[in-house]
Amino acid sequence: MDLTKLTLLDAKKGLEKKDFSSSELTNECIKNIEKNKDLNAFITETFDLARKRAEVSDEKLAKGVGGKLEGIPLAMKDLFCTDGIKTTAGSKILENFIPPYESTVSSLLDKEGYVLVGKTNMAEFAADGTTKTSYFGPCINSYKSNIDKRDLVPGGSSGGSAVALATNMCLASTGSDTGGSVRQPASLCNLVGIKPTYGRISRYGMVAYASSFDQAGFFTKDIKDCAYLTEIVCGKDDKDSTTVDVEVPNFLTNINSNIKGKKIGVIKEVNDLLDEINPQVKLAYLNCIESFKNGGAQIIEVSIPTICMGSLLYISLSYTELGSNLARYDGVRYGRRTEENVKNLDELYVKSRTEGFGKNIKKRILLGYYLSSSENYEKYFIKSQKIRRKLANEFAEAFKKVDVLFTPTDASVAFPIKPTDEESKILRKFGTIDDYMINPVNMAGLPAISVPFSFSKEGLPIGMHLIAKHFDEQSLFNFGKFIEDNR
Amino acid sequence: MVYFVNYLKILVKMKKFIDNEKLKKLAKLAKIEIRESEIEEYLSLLNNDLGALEALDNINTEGIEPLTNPYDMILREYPDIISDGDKVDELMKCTPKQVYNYFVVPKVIEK
Repeated sequence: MDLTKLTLLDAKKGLEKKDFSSSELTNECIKNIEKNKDLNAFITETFDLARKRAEVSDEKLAKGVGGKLEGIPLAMKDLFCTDGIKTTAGSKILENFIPPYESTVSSLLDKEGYVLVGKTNMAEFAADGTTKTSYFGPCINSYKSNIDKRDLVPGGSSGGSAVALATNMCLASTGSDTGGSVRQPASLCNLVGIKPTYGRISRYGMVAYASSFDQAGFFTKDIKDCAYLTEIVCGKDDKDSTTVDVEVPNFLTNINSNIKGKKIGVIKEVNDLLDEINPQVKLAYLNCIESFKNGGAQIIEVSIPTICMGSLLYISLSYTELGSNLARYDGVRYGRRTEENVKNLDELYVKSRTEGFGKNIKKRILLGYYLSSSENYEKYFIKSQKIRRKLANEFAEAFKKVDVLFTPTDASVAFPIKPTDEESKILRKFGTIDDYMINPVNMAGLPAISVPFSFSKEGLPIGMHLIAKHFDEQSLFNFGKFIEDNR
Repeated sequence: MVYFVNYLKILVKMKKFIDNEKLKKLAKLAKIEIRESEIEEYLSLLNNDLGALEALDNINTEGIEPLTNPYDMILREYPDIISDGDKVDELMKCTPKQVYNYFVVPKVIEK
């Protein structure tokens, strides 16, 4: 039996029944990491630490005193600070940063006995949907088209975490989602990927991109694993004043995939664009709607007109927040400092930042500075915040009529890392449509999930996307389980 | 659909919002150096995005208050107690250069 193919919950059962040990399971995951190094899924491997931790877990499991994740190998996106372990956020400017503290997410997982196998590759500062902008080189999707053998993107920004799980290098992995960075790679790599409600999970110790959008999430093999893990990390944290003190339900035991009589919303503005997306994604979407109907749910079309502004709000608001957040990297207190001889402090800042940031980040910082400058602040930033409220209000109206909203996760399947000029044009169009479905969720702080549904004729995964009301992750798991059982 | 088509049209139009001089000013403020050979590329990238952002004007926001976070959450205040973990030595290990727990930087005050 290949232990690494087990779901997290099945592995947990196996460990508790002592069918196998955490050391065996961990070593099998490590073997998969070593076998698939060409995919560049990890920035830092923590094998020695993992093996030691697995031994400790085995002792605990022998005594029957393990935590909820005792001995389970997981991978962490490299923007969760891990005490004493390098944390780079995919950037040269943090290439040697070893944080002296632990993120709340990793510390909660640690408390429950997880085994960290490594820190995964990601787009620089989580600001790109392909994972191509990582200073440590692009991450490559383990899925290949059966007619075109070029390397494909895994999506991003959490591409490394998606690939690590898709190739069984771990039993689940963490991600962060600012504008789709968990859900999109989940869709392109045949995984469940969740972005919980903003405020559900502490952002303490996560390297910031756009603080009013960023949210931690998970990649898992199925819905039950996702419900189990999400529950562990949810809750108020004194170290993050945006976490909300609301009850965390027992997501796993509450899962109910009976959708009879439930109302599923489809979005008019997305439906209007269906002929513009990959026809196979469209077909999958329509098939999934059919299965909802067969399950007894009612399909209701709702209009969210401002959803079309998703990509623009993302640019104007997240770039501004990024510019502000990344002002902290100065080459003085932490992070990389230029090795050139500099004459004064200003030159130290300029050289350190110019050498440390990639082109995509520099572009976003510059634009962020432009948008938030005194002469443009009202025109772009405040205007966008007003549109953000309008969008959030429209979502709230929609949720008066339906239990969940439903869209495809991505307008396309995984695409080549090096697209032709012709393909690039199509990808730009798809990217704009993606922004109708994925980004607006972050603008309104809503929870959403991508669930694997089918494969294209080239053999590439297609995921479906559910959006729920604030703090209603349970509906994501319920409807997600239905999709999982009816694909 | 109308917005989508408008968006694509705007992408094609490419107005120049930021010129060479403005780019240099932004770079100075952001403490980033743009080499002469990179200027055209950055101008194109930035003006492209700004062209698209013109579509923000299509949305009527009269009487709508700005939303600064996803759902008008009220931030909690932290209790007024020191909770920095007392990790001076560990934190100072993160700096590229330090002496006696001070950050060392090049000369700041010119003669």
